[in-house]
Amino acid sequence: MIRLFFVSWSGVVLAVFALAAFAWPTAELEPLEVADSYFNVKRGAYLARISGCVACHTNEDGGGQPLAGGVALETKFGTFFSPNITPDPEFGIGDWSLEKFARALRQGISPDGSHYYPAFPYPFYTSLNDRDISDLWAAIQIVPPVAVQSKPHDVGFPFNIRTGLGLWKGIYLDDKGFVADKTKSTSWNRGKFIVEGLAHCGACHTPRNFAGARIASQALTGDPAMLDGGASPAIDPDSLRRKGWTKETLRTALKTGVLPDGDIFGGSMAEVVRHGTAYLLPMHLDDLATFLLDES
Amino acid sequence: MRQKTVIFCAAAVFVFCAAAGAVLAHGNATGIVAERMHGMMLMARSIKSLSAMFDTGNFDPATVNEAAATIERHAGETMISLFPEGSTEAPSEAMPEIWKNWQEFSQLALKLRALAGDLAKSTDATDENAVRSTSQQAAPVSGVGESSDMWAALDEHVLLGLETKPRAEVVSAQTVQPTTASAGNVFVEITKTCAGCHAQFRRSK
Repeated sequence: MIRLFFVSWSGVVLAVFALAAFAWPTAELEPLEVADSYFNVKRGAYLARISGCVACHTNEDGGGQPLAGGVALETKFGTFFSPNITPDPEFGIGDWSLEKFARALRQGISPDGSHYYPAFPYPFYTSLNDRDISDLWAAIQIVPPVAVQSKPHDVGFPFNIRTGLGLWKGIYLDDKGFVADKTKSTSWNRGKFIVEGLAHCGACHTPRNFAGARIASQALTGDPAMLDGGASPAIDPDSLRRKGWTKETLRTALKTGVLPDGDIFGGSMAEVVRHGTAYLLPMHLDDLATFLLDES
Repeated sequence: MRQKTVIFCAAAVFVFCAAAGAVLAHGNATGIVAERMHGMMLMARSIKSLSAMFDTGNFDPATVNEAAATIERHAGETMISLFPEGSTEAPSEAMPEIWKNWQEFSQLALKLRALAGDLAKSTDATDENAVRSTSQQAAPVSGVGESSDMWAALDEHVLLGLETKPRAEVVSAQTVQPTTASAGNVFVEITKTCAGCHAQFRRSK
């Protein structure tokens, strides 16, 4: 039965990719305009840290240089390797323009027009505005260039046909950008911006459908079958409150990894805290907790 | 003779109750698994008390010393001796990776004990206060109404991973410079050591 399901599922995926190869032959490459009058390196570095650029593009365990890539992300679709995003003109992104950078981050399109796999969490970065992009771009410029070739992804058929990603994006990519809820406080909305965008909490805490896309109606309700094979708990307001979480305990857990009972996060959340949320400014920890608990 | 019997019975009841409490607390764990889970629970209590202390900002030497002594007692060689190869029976969350990477596991256990020693010697909590003092200066991530110097206290080199510093110092450039062995810094190192071990060697809950 399981095998039958797998075979039919593979057939559907194959058909979708075949259709996509005809329907979406090339990615859109309309010109982009990005305001570049701000450039705040410090703010950009903060965004790079909180959004996971630094963690995912730095192979710390393998002795890699900052942002030189090479971190393996194992999923049921194959193994993806983060690319070199240092300013090296040959092996990194040194010969990109700000516009190409913006297109990569917000639309998931590479400079040659091909689609990125959503292992690169660009579906979350559609909420970044021009200023965010400009600051991130400026921060990357201060990173020493590293002449190391990016490792190709190890993805099997049919997922190695990138053209199919155009269809995937057409169906699942929500590119409306950040929409503030005016009935909520500024802090709540900043928390929403961080949780749903930069910090991409839903990448692990929202269940996914057969195509690996998040199920919007079940946002943050936990994923029993994460792409890496693990399981994540629900972090929607009701679930968090039911488990006794408060703003104070959430702030502490995200800052230090210490849970309310004195235990300390393990699993991938330990890495998330260590490389990401531990760096959140106190005000933003507060915003995040406010949004997650749906408080005012 | 009768008095001795009464004392023995009382002691037996006490031991039984203590054991029963440990069993109840650790979901029917027995033997060496129960023993080490109990040790972990006591260390967790210490972490909880330290965390609460840093949250309130009221540095309390007694809390620090008590936590340091507890962690020192249950980490290091004690912890190592409680993980004989293959002891993964339920409800243990220990993963077989412990014995595949025994040296790394042992080093983390020893590092934790050494850090507990450092904690006992530390006397202040300036870095945590420094972090907290920036909360009023912190700027919005995205939005209107912020001035350009609101991000000035951030260290872009640390944030980008170009330099490594204790993370508590990330926003301390314009505030109090922490001492190298402050309780706050040691506490951060302790939590990092625990997290590193849990991430590699403990099953996800």
